[in-house]
Amino acid sequence: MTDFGRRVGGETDHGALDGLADDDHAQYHNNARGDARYLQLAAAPLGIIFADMYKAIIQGTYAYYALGSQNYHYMFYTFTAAQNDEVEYEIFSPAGTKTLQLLAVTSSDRGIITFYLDDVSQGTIDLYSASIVYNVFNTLSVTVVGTKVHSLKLKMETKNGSSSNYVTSITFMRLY
Amino acid sequence: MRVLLHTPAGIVEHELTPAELTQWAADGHLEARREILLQDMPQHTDPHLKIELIMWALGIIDTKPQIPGPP
Repeated sequence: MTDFGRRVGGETDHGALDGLADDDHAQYHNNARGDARYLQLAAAPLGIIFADMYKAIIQGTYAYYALGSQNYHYMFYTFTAAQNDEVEYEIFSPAGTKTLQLLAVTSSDRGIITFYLDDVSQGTIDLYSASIVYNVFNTLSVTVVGTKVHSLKLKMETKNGSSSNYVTSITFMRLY
Repeated sequence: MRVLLHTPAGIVEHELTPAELTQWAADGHLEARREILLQDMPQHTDPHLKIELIMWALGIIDTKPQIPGPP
């Protein structure tokens, strides 16, 4: 007998099939079921954004800075910083409580970023430090509603009382 | 030095003013540091200072070596 499947001779009972999540055809395919099955097979973290790979600059003027001391050797930096400078990204994530990790360069003129996921505020990360510090990792707990491509906005709404400006200097973000 | 700026209207080219070039170099921008390296190198006579300037342009050190003034 020709073997077109995984089992020589085949199976006569669907309940005996194994493989990807033991597909017993409990229901027909739909998007939610497909997401649930294939997301668990993803080997890499699902949401990684390099800071210069934005969807839109909403306010402000940003520039790519090649740096020697920063991981990945660059930062995305506001050329002329102002309050409420804002940049939007798109990021894929399944629903749930996730961690947003940010790699940044902190310094004495940096602002405080407010993070919006699908226009819902998720919290802030302060980029101020008394002097320049490279490779600063911060994390933020975020609530992801729905398994889809999400809008992620970074808005420089406030600043530390000791900071002299609202400068942004970020390298990448990861949602996991 | 011409750079690309990302703005709400799209990506635009911009020629850095001397003051902006100095600021970008101080902020760690490597291409800006290379521009200043090319400007400053002929003024350096001390081999040690030349090495420090190259290290600064490469981003190995963050403090730019100063050209000594006239005695």
